[in-house]
Amino acid sequence: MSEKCGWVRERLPLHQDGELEKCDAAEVDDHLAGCPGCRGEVLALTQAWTMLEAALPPAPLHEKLYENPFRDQPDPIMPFSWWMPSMLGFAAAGVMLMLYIHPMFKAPPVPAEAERLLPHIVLRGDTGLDLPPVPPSNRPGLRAAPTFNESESGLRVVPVIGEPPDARRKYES
Amino acid sequence: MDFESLYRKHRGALYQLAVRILGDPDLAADAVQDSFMKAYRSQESFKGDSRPLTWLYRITYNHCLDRLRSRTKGAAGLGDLDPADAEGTRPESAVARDETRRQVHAALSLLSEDDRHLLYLMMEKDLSHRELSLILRCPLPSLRMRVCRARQRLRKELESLLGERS
Repeated sequence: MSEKCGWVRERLPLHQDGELEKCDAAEVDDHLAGCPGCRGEVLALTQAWTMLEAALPPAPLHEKLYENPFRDQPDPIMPFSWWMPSMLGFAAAGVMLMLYIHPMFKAPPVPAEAERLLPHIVLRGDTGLDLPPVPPSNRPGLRAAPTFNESESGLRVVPVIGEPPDARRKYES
Repeated sequence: MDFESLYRKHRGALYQLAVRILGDPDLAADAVQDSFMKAYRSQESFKGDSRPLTWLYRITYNHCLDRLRSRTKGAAGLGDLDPADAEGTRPESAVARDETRRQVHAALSLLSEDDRHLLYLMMEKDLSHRELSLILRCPLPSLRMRVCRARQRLRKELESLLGERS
């Protein structure tokens, strides 16, 4: 047995499994073509493997394995993953964008009449608004009550004619 | 991960490995089911760098080794299991096959446990050497050396057994 035969025989199992590099496989094939001793080795390895497979054939499936083992199992708890915070961030950004662009979420336009009267009116009720100070009562043109359609605007408007005795105290405090 | 379909698809292959290692169909079926439950509960440990089958093989293989270690009696994996007996379909050449089987089992018993298990895994034609190295947690070059050594030892043991008989 030459040195080359030893090199080839070391690699025969890998060659049979198709796991040799292409260049090594070509070298082994070249050697086998001219070496009856190594071809005998190939045959012996193949026979041994065939005997092993014949002696240990696939066993028929056990009846237990036809049961579904996952039937009564609760869903496993998913662990924290790196993508979870980023998904939450994307969701929040989506909601913000929707609120910004959708007309449904925009404030209704202030009627022109209300804008005109705004410095002279006091909103009554628990609006939670930071109300402007009451304008001076001696301003000309405020003696007549302004007309304002409350049902259209949705605002309840009280025209200030003169200065209510308790208004200044209220806003000053 | 759809574990039910994974189970249906791979239970047979994993069962073959478990039967060969444990040598007992009941224990092997339990081992396969336990391995699947283990995989189901720890599915976050599957990184996706290999096929799910490779991952399942590794879990089943380790589980079978644990079972082997916990068993108190005798050498395992080379029991008197004959799948054909279980099927009740013994072929006419049963005598010749029994003889071959005995010789192969005798040769396998002369190998180390590691070599024997490697051969069982190699009988699963679906697995490449790279996947075997993942299952056995062994570097690829070392695994290739182990493959060569195991197959050559099997051949030598069988040859010497056959030589003694003739």
